[in-house]
Amino acid sequence: MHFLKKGRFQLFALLLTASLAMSACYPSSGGLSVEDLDVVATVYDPEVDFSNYRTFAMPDSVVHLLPDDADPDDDNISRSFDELILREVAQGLTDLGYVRVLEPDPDNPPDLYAFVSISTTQWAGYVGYPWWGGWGWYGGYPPGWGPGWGPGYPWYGGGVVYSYETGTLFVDLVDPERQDAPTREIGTTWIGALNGLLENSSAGTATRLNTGIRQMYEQSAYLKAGS
Amino acid sequence: MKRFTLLTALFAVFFLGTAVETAAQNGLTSLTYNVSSATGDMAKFVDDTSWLGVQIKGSYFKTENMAFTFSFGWQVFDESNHDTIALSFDQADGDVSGFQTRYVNAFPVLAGVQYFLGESRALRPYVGLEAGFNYIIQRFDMGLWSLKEQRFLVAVAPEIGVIVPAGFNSYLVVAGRYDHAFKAGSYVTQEKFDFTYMSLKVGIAWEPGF
Repeated sequence: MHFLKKGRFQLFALLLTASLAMSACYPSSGGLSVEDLDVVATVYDPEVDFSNYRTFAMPDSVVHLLPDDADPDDDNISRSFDELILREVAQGLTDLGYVRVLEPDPDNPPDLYAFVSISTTQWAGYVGYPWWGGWGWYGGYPPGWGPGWGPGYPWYGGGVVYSYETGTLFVDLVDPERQDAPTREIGTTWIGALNGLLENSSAGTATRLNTGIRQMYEQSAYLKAGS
Repeated sequence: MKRFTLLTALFAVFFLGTAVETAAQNGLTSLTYNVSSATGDMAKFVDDTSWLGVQIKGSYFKTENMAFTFSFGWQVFDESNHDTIALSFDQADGDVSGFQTRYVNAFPVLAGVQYFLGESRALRPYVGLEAGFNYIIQRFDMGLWSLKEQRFLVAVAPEIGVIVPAGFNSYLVVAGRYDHAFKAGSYVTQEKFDFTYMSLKVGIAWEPGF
């Protein structure tokens, strides 16, 4: 074949080599469990001195965050773990030295209010495989997969439609003294967020919620209450 | 890993062809396996030793001791951990934790000079210096989230090594090399840094006419 003449063959090999090489290699990708996909983030106002706070109050329910145009009847977020979540959030604050006020007095409010909320997101996409059934993901690159999520490698170069649901648990600590009435802004001093893949195992979810809420407090040593 | 092996084989095929075509030149082609370790601020991002590295280099001798070089390489760094990362924003600070994996794919494409001591077809120590660009793909995965940035960076690479005759116009190559790509562009981290790493190279070299 004429294109195998020395010069062209070398050019072909070089171009093929360069194109394969430039698309990179990620050797540690894959093989992750659902727990590995959990992320805990905490954000706080560095100008706040938490040692000035000693008491907190909490509503006895978890707020479900829905899209603005959603029908409340379409709320499919499970309430199976509300009691566990509220208990763990309260326990964490107690462990940091805060005293819970069970019946807050509007004339003498607690130092902080803890609000707990949950949101969920549905994800869907399509992944097509090239004929050599190898490394590439086309059009949609979920960065991590738990067990049971991996589609097959059809040699004919077919594709797979995937969908999954993620959830985020938010804990907001609000100082009622820092509210701004004209802008209707409340003074959030600290936010903890736990994000992960929603799964069907109750035991697994309960463990992950325990671990995640505890991690929120562990990475927030500045949150310790005043004595 | 399959892709890495395939690429190494392609490199060898390409340069065997090159050797036949350039029989009239006085040159040297080398193919090396590189083990690398990040240094400086790059080591704060990815600290584990990279066992995935390859480089192909062509040397054209202008004189008996001095050669012009052109090289292309690929080095893969990756590290997984559960570190907590501190964040800083305009009006807030924070932390984020979770299972994370950091990747750097580095593709240095450089040209330069080498200076060889000794005589042709004998044991020859050498020093070299190359400059060009290093195409860097930096990626950070945490949980369900992935950040990736890629860019061309100006780069230099000094090298010191030795070639040892191994018969049939071929040589064993052992060398140490330092790659330095200067920071520019966007990063997945809040702080930018130069991509710097040291490598131990072991491989083979052969003359045209093999």
